[in-house]
Amino acid sequence: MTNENQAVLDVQKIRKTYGRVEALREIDLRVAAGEFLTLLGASGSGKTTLLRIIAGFETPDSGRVSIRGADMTWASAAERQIGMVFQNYALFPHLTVLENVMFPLEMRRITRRAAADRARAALDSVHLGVFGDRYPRQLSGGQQQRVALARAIVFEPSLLLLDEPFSALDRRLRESMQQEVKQLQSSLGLTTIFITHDQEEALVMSDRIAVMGGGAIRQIGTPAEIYYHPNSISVATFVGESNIFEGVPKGRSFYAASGAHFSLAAPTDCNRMLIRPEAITLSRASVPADPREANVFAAQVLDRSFVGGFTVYRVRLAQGDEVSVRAIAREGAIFQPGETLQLTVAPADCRPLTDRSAA
Amino acid sequence: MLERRSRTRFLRRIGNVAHHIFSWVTFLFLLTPLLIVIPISFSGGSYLSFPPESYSTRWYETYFAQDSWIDATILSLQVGVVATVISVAVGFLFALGITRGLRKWGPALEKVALAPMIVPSIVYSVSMYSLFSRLGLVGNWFGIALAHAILCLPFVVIVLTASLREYDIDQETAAMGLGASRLTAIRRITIPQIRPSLLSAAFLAFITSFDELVVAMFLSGTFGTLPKKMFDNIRLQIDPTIAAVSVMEILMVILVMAVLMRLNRANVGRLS
Repeated sequence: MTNENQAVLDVQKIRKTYGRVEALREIDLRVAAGEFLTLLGASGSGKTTLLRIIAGFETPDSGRVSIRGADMTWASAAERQIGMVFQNYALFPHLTVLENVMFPLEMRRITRRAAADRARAALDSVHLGVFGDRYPRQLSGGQQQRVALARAIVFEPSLLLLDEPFSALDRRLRESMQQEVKQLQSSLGLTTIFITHDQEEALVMSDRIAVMGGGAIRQIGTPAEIYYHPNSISVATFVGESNIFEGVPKGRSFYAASGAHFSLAAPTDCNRMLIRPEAITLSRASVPADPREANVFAAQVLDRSFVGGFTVYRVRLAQGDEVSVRAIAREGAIFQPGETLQLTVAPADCRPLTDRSAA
Repeated sequence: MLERRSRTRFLRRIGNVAHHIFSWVTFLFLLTPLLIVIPISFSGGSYLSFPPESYSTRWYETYFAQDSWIDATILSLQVGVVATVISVAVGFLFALGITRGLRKWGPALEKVALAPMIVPSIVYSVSMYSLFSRLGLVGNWFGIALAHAILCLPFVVIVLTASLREYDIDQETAAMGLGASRLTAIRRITIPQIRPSLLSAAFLAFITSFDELVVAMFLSGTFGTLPKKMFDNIRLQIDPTIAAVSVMEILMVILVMAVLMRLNRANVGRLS
């Protein structure tokens, strides 16, 4: 049972309904030792319910939750050895920072002196060693976050759960906390499940992402797989910006409803296709594009917005499709609204959406 | 423009003054009867009269000299403490049930818990008498304490449900996630944070029991609680002893409230 590759967490066929609402419908999920997995989804997608079932704060209607091979479906939260950081941190305001971090050790009947030593070490690891005697309200949001993190890891849990921990922080602080958490996680080899609705955060931090929607896992994979090979419109639009074309596949070709012809890298039978805005190139061409030629189109700029490092153009193809394009902004290479340009896209960047069940 | 501004200012000032006057009138209206008791209690005469013709401390001496007064006081304290302990213990569980878990029945339970406050005390006393006489609890101090505990329950439930609704339940959840049992989580995390409310609830419960008369009249036999003794005293002799007792009661309440405020301030200092 001490196989290195054994899943720390194994969730099988979990269902949960609240009244008539199906919060989770048959969730299967395995998380390997040391892995950083993100549950990404909008509110109401079921990610929080799943997290609470894993943590032991809710029980599933059916299915199984195993931790390190042991069935924990009906075990109490206390028995599961899971560290959790709550969205609002849930620090105990009547205890000092050190007492907060000592709490889980005390519950494990570790002597006060040993508990204090370990708690101090945990506080040091989040750079809060000198704040032990303060009360949580005397700390900033970011510092409270670190205390919550120290408290969640001090008892060496088999699993760390993070429930949207950065949502209350401002952007700059959030980015530095993301890095810090990620570093701590990989240096301690902590198996971690992270919940967020922020796709950027998910892409930055995760080893794997499970995109959730409507109580199910829509797709699970590495950030690159999710970004470059989304299986459905819902995943494609949730993660990153996207241009979706509906049409008819024919071997290695795809004919959009408007008549625009794309050639693909591989044959497909999907009738939806994705092109990421940054995969498209705009250029000023001397010769107008032949409407029958694949992947090269005449396009007119409708409007543009300058976003610093890049510019987002909304353009209309000669065939009528409206497309959003993200181009690196080089001074002098900025196109004007009304200008007619040539739009090209590589066959490899035309990505069929394989999952037809979920629109 | 200028004229309008000065008119607005003038009206606002009038409103302010009226508000102050109203507050002070209300304050005096509530407080005067209590203040009048003080000189009466130091009266030298043997009748209740205001203002007293002469002053003495003889009615305080009467109180401390008579065993019946002291016994009644001790009994009231005893009943009050037991009723407080029972009502706070039961009321806390009740409030926990109302604010969580019992999503469907919570609102109904809350109304039931408030019923003792709404039912006329004479009706409650008669029904308690008929029930307790069968159980052999009439003429027994514990019977009074039990009946009082139920009368105190609404105050406890109101205060504690309000406080538990404001309390962030994630903290209790977090404590359980960190290895505490539900009971430990409530004892170590929830109770310390709602301690000010628990203290106010206990205080309200104690006061409710300590000056309750009607139930005590029905359920006490030959002996009596302090309010019953005071009532009997008024009916039989009307001497200023009850004024002296009242003053001591007022002092007790002021003292307890001061202690509570002190405790709560110490808590607020750490929490907010």
